Amino acid sequence: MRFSLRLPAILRRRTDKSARAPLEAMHGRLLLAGLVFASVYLTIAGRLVWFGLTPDRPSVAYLTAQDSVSAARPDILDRNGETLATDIRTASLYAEPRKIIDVDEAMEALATVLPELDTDTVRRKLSSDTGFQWLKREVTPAIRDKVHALGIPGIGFLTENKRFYPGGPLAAHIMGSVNIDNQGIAGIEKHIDDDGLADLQALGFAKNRELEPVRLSIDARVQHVVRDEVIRGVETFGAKAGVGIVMDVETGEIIAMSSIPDFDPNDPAQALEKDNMNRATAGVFELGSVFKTFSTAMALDSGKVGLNDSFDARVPLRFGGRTITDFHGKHRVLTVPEIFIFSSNLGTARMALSVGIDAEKEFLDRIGMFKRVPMELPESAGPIVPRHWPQVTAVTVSFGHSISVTPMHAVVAASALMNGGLYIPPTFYPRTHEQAMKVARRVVSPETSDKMRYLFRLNVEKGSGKRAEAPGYRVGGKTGTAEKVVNGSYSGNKNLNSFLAAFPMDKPRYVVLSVVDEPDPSRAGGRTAGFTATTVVSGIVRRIAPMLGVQPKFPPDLSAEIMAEASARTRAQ
Amino acid sequence: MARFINALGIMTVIVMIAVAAVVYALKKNAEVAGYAVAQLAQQIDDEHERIATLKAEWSLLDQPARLQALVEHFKDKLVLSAITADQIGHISEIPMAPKPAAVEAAPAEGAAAPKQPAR
Repeated sequence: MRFSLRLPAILRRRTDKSARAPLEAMHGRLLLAGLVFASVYLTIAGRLVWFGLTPDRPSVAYLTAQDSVSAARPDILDRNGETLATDIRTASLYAEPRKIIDVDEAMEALATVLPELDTDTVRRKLSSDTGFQWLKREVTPAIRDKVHALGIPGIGFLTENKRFYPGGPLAAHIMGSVNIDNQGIAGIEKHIDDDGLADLQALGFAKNRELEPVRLSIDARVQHVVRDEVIRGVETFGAKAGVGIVMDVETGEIIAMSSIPDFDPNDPAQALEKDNMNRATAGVFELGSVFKTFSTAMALDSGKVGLNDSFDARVPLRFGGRTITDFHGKHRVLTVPEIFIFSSNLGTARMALSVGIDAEKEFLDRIGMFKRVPMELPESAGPIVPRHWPQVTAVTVSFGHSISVTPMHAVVAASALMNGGLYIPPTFYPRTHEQAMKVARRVVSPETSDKMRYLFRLNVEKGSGKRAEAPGYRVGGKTGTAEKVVNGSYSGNKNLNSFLAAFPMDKPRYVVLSVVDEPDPSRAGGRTAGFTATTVVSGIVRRIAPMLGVQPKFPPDLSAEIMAEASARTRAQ
Repeated sequence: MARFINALGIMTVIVMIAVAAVVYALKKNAEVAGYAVAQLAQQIDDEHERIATLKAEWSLLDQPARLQALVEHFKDKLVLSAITADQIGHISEIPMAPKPAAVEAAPAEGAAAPKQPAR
């Protein structure tokens, strides 16, 4: 049987003797192949066009050890743009122990450049089986170059940002400090962290210098003057400590704040010493007679007491075992202005009693004496307020004892009394008058504010504040000589002197407070605020008034002018 | 038809080679440009560092405490003292110049005609 295979048609054509058939077959196959290749090339061309059209995608950045340590912080500037804090790049030495070949050789080489490294710790670190160990952080460029020249494998450097404060101790308590990882641990540095920088850094955004600098309301020149004068006062009067605060009454901005003794934030270890604490906002004191400012304002604002009223200062007040008298008492009936300028405890006590204990508590709460001062600094102490208020407590509170507040409490409350009666919470950041008005609340009437201005000015013209006058700048204020509690009883020898002032009194712009803690009684001036704290305030105002743009004027009788202006205003209403 | 397909094929091959060459050139240029950009970015970073260091140095030199100490130290040469309130005034405190009074026809000695009033 003849066996013949039936070949597939396309192959059968091959055996076909016809000349045209193979060509046609080829045509078909060629066309097919051509189409396949064409489609491949078209796809490639199409992809090229597609790549050309898509926008650039940013490349993925891999997180390295360098990124996790170079947490940048924004510069801190004062209100005029002067640098108060900035970052400096330094090198920090690290080791990768897994890559170190010979620990002894590495240690010997390192010891030639860094002899202060503790050999046991370093040996332990280099011998461990870890991938990364710090050896020494924040070394100088010279040391970095020397270690680099040693050529030890497994040792390297990461650049870190070190916080530098060009002013040194200038605004120490305001700046606060940062830890070795450039995280804020106190002061405005901590506030910046809490306010969002820490979150930014956690998300990985705050890597380099692109952060906007932070502006404060502090004026570096005024801050220097305040610090300089407070230090001078502490030295001259042999005091233990001192405080100086300047606040803008129209906006609530803190222009300067200094507490002596202070520290250099470039050396954060100093900040931990207890004596260098921030007495301006974190220390509470019985302020003594400066509190009469608030008692008098309370009495005048209640409507029950007027400037022409009188109170009996002849007879001491007795409550059970306690007797209240006047220091250098006048032993007669005193008018309200006389009570203020002679700083009579008896007059103030009777004035406060005439208003009532509940009214006194309500007024002090209104001016913020029962709560922490609301501000950006984390170090803000709460006042020590008596729990029970029998008459004797109400009386002692009226002249500033039995209640302990921070100097900042006094400044903010006085500012409310000087600006027309509006309590504005203080701030360390720039703020306009309009913004301040949005957060202000009325605590006394404008008439009361006028009367307080009159009394403040009268006290400097005729009362205990004479030494606080700075010619041309119309200072007004109240002295406070508070006996401090030693071993449970008031000591005649240890005083806290303060002067709570404002200037210029015709239209106050700034409140200035100076506190001199425990001046030496044997020095000239002794322990009276009328000598110590007033001198500091006078020195401060004399130097800062031109800087702050306060025009000098020389009115012959400013207190009378204020009174006339106030009466005209009351009559006009 | 075959010749046409051949020509098309050769053309396609030539075009492909040309395209490949162009793409390679573009890629090379992009690499070079990318390198230049990275270098510039590094230089900008270094300049920013330098500016920051200089700003810190300037701030250090411009501190009020330092300037005060310098004034104190060189007070013999500089002879500077603190400004006092009576040295500061305001432009409004300076009165305007008085109008010049008209000069009457009172002849001066030896003068023939009255002089013009000074303006």
